[in-house]
Amino acid sequence: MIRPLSFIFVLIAAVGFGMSWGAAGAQAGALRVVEPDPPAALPEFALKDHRGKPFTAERFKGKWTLLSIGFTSCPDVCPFVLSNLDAVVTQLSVRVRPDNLPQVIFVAVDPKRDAPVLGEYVRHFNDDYLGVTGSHEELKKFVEGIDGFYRLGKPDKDGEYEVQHSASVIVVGPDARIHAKLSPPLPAGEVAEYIAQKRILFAREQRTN
Amino acid sequence: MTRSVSNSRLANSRLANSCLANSRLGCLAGAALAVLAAVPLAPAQACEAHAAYKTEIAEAKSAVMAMDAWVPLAPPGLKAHAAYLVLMNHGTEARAVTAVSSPQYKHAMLHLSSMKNGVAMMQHLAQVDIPAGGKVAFEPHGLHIMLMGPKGPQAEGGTVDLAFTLDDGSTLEVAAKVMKRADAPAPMDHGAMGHGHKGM
Repeated sequence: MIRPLSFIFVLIAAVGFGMSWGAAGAQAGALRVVEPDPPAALPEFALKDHRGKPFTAERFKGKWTLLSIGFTSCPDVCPFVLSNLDAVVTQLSVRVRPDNLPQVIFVAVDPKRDAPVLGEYVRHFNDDYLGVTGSHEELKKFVEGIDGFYRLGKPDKDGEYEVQHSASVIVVGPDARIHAKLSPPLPAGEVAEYIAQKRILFAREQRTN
Repeated sequence: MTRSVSNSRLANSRLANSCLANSRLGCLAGAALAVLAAVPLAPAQACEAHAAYKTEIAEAKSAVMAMDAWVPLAPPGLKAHAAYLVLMNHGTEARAVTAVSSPQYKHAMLHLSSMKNGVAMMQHLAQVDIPAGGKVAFEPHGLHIMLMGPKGPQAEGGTVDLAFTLDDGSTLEVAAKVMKRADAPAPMDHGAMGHGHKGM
């Protein structure tokens, strides 16, 4: 599916337990990118957005998308990634027209706990964010199809459970194909730079084809 | 300098203990060692000074200090929040945090977010070690205090009271400020950091 073709492995600033994933854009030179060649097709899926509308492949067409996988009861990693992506959008907004900004989609893989709060959750980070969820069957299909992973843990005595999930951000192009997988840390400045260049390259390719 | 004084007192806290527990002979030996360690007390006075030492040992228990404690403003309705801070151990003995609680939440836990093959997971830690003279940073995407079940709504500018239990039985109380992620304290320099954890 996604072949690790070009590894841009500039610098891993992580020390010890990989704890140095600091605040948005605090560290330079740490972005890790894996690009499928050629860009990979999205899987088939039937999901719904946080407004209850069907979420289809059409929603990817014509714009760049940053997909993040997570769950709303996640106190640490998911809010960190989502606020980082907000910083990416902010940085890009000085370089590209508003209608060319990437859309950010949060794929919520814990529908039981996520569905009731998804709209408020994503809007907390950015009014334009889209939350997407569905049945585990459809979520599994979609998440595995974008080279992601998630697994619900066993509930504890209070019925609370942990969710393991990919922390990578999947970049989908305006052709609704997967163009890249960005792995944490996700320094906002570098992600913004990467997306900006990706846009230019893609537009150039479209013109020559 | 205050800090070096308190450190030398800490270094002698074991001697003071042996002084309390043992005979006069042991006490004298301890006092003699204390003199070698440049504590300005005459041997004869040293044992009479038990009480003073005990007070100092009690003070030494607060050798762990907290800074930059904050709780990111979370989306409304969420049952899980996180708290971050830096814990510093100014003492000469390693300390460990063994538990944490907050009156504003049903549960609080020491957690570590980790990544394995690009998959994020959380680990519940039994304790977090703070080396002597060292510090441990609880930061996004790493160590954090997991706060489960808020008893009331969270408000920007508000505070979350945290109580850390240390392995010497003492408690460290910290007020963490609720703020937007964008206003968070800058992450510390990891180059000089030493820390360790023990899993559950």
